[in-house]
Amino acid sequence: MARLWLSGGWLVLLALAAIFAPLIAPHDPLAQDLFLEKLPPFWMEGAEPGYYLGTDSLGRDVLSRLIYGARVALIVAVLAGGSAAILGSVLGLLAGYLGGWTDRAVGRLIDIWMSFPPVLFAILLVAVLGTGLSSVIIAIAVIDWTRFARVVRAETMAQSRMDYVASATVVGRSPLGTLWHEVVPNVLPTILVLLSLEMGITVIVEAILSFVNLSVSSDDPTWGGMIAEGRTQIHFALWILVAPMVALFLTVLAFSQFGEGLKDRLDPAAS
Amino acid sequence: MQAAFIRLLTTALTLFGVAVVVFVVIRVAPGDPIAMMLPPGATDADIDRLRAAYGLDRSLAEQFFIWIGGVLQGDFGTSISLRQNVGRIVLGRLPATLELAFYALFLAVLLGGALAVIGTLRRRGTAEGAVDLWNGMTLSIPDFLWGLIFILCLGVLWPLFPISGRISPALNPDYATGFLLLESLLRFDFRVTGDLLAHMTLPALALALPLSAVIAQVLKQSLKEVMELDYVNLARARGFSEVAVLFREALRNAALPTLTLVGVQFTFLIGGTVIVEKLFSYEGLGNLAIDAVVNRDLPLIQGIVLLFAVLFIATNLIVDLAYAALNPRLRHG
Amino acid sequence: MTGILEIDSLSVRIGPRGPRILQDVSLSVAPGEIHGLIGESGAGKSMIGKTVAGLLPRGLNVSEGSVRFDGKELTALPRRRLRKLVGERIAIIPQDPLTALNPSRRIAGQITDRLVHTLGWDRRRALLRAEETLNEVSIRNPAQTLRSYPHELSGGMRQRVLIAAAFAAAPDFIIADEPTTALDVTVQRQILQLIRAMQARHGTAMLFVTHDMGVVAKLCTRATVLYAGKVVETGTAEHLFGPNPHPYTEALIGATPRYDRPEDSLRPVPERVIEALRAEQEATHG
Repeated sequence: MARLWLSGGWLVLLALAAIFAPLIAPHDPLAQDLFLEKLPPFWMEGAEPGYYLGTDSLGRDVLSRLIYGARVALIVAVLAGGSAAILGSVLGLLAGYLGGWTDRAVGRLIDIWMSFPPVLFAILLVAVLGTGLSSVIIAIAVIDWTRFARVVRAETMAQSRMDYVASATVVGRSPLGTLWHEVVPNVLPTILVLLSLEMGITVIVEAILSFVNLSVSSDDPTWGGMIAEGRTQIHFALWILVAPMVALFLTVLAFSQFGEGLKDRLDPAAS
Repeated sequence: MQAAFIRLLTTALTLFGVAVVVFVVIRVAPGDPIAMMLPPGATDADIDRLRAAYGLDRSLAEQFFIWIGGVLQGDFGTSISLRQNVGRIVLGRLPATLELAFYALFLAVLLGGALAVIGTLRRRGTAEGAVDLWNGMTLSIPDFLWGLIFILCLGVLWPLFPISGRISPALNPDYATGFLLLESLLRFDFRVTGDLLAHMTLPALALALPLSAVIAQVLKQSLKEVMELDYVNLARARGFSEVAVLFREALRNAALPTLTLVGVQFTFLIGGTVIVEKLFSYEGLGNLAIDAVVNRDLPLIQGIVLLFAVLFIATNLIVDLAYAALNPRLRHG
Repeated sequence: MTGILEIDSLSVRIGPRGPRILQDVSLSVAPGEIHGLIGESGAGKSMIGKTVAGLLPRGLNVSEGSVRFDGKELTALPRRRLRKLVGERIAIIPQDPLTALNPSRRIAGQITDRLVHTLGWDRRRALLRAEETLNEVSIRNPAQTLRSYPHELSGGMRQRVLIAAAFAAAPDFIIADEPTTALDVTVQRQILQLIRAMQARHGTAMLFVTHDMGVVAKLCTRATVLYAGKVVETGTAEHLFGPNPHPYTEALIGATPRYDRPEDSLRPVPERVIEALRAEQEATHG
């Protein structure tokens, strides 16, 4: 229970920060000031008031970049996670509900997809699509839809065998109507749990790709980009690395804990 | 015998499939790598000349057969960004990645095995609870973050290990192969061994932790089941202690289900080397792969992806063989 | 007369305050005797063997009573000491030969384990003894059997191997836990004859757990009848099969398949006998 509130709380805070970034951020995240480079955070000797988490090697405000970086992280989480969820769930629902050749085709597709290691897949896709935010989102959706399809397909099959689905069909609903009104509401909780876990994965993948400079353009503030910058300054200005790292850590943990908590909440018997 | 033949045939087919996919996917990529190679002032004639030099002016099918023919003879083409033979570059980096991956696997098995054994011997106690908690935490943190945590804690705040490179530049051993760790051991050159291990420990740990949690979880579960079986009880009645019973009777049978899983997870670990190597500036294949993608070096990307595919397929093959070797039922037909 | 095994008002509970699965059980096994322990499944008969061997599943504990083996109180021994004592002097013939052999180890090790590890013999002598004992249990090719893995042997062969493993270390006491239940009928008979022959040759005292009155009649000097964790009656085979047995015992005899009688004459234990027994047990135990 507590973990649902804690993780949910962090995510809400993050979403608010991302949405109202221009209002909250104390500085322009792109503004460089070489006279103010590598300022330490407020609790350390030599800190400058107004730069709460210090500045990076180009004199950009770390806190402001962190807040703007949350935008990229959450945009990718919502769009990529959402696309993967929709793509996978639709295929899973159709396969599980219709059965027959649809099911065999989707099942086979999932098998082929999963036999391809995700990292190779990502390298290939990014090489093809080029860098940039939309490539990252497409790549994640194309790779990760199987996570949803596999589970939703199995769940839909189980649900379709239940009596209430059969009786709905007897009452005279069309197959798609039955799927929408009787099966989807029962599979939805599972999809939400998977979505939360997937968004955690997405945030990490985006951070990794921007860390190696394959995500958005290198000027835009991203946590991964900040980590890359911090990695080069690690012996001179530790805070540049620590701030985005902590943000990434908490966010990934929050998504996975929120998903686990949701699972326990929705299905107390399984825990 | 027949099964082995079919296995080999499907392996070859899978590899061919991967080669086709890699080739097609990369050729349909938008963007012109040749244009990126040349300085801004280059004329169209310059571009065409270079395009012909790399064989990019022919039809797609032609290009594929030239490429696959070369691959079969060990010629993977020429890297655009490094202007060297792809095969030579890629094979030069392979040993570093293999040594890192196997060191990580070793650490994961050691750590995961120890946790599973402790959790089993102290089952239903606080120790098992602690093991479960640790596993849960380890699993929810990916290797990239573990790497960062290690860099911060064991590299900077408490500098026990070096955090970049494969070996200290001062040592620079003049070895015959790229398998520096292996060769240093064979040459009893333990100063080099120690230096290599120090450089490898943090990246290997970052790769190993998630895998160790998986091993600990699955192995503990199957150990607990096996420890309640009749033959284990019989061994207890023959006067063996719990520890002896676990190692002599239970471990081997419990390890079998874990083994298949470790195979699949090991391919993930190899995939993880891509980012972890970058993080620790470790000169391996993964590091190279990222540079190749950043530079849109198509021949190099092809070579690397193909080599990774070979590694994944080889891993699965080895796991199958190991499974058969450990299971007497399969060994004797 | 003091027996080699003396169980006195033994109770075993699930958890510290949970229900008792054995209640006030007393029995005594004399040296050289085969003592039958009979009851329907769920009567708790296997739990008695497990208590003696220190193999009670986690969560089950002896709450009252005593188990003395050769004058030593077993319930008071720490686990390590109990295991050593059991390893040196008590052997088990298990119920299911399919699950009682480790599938990934050769037969040789599984027979010599106790000799080498617990009794400290050297390996070669232990192997000779294993081969000798396999001969005794009429396994035709002992040397080859020693090199085999369990899955290469039939169910009957495996049970012979397990009997050999039990007798190889010349134990003072053997617990046979329904050793024929998992086998088919013809093999059952051979295995019973084998156990009787081995017991006669070595003179080992034995607690023979079974649900089959016919086995008791063939094998046992005395037997204890168990129902729902409590002793119904104890007596010699002559008494149990005599003119005045306890009604429950009589019903068990009726429920026993006999090779010389057609299958359809089998009678289940009648409901009223069980009800009467319950009432009787409640009256005596409160």
